[in-house]
Amino acid sequence: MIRIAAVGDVHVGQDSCGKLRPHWEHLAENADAFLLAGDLTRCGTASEVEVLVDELRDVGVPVVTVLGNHDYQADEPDKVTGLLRDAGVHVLEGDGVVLDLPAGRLGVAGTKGFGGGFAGACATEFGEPEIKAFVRHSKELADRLCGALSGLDADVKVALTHYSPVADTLHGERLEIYPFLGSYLLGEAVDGGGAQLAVHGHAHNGSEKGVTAGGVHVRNVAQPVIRRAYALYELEPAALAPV
Amino acid sequence: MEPVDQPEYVATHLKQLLAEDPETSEQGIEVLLVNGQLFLRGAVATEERRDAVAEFVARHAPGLRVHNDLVTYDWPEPTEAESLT
Repeated sequence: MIRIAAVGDVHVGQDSCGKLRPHWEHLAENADAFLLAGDLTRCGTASEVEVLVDELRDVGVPVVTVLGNHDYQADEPDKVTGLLRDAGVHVLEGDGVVLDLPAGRLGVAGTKGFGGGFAGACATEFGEPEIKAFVRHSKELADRLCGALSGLDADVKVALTHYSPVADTLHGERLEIYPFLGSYLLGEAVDGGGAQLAVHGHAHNGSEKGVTAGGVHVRNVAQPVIRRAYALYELEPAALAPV
Repeated sequence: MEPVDQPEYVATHLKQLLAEDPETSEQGIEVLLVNGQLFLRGAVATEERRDAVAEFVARHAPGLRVHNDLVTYDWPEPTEAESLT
């Protein structure tokens, strides 16, 4: 059994020193990998990332993350990414990583993703340059996710995003903001890329469980949603192998 | 009442300020203005931020009573896993 711990939206700040690590005390006993679904920091500053790196030290399992919108707020996503990678965290943006675990090979492909909305109520690449740029950005990130998922040579494939691939896991949020919380393009990428699980954050008032049009499990692991230090999921590679 | 004093605008401006001001950077807080009283709802990561948000809102909305209904993240490790196969 491949065991995955996942959480999003931990929003680490200068006041978070020593506050997360106690809640990850048994993580290495419970899971084989730790996925972080973005909004790692309050504003994406180097000092906040340093606090997170300290909290993650010796957590005992591989850590894989994507950035969230908060991690872009200080306009230094490359610095955030660099500090995390220097600390041994796998930071994904349109690419993937394969982890050789005792129970099998876990492939994770990730992107922050972007908005745009869902089937029947989505933005289109039409009109002003600003809206065309918005939609084009969402398309590009989703396309890269699909490519990264397809390229994984793994027993289990997981898509990791900050924005949501489905509307299901947004239930509880106001309908008017759905276009700012995710995009059906991410759902298409999850289905097209052959993932068995999609994990995301961002929607603090959403719901934990959903499913893509293609039947892939989707889990919103934003911490205010799961109300636990992290969520735990188990996938059996043998059960997923083609017959 | 001036249009800009309408409760919807006051609450919305405060919500935007909470997200955009570097002092707070909190995007997920609901702000409701009812009968001249402000209600703050949502979750923040620490007690310090909970207090700081209420103080920030009080400073930007003088004369309005602030009810701080924010909760903080203090959730335990899970006791079980969900099997997805």
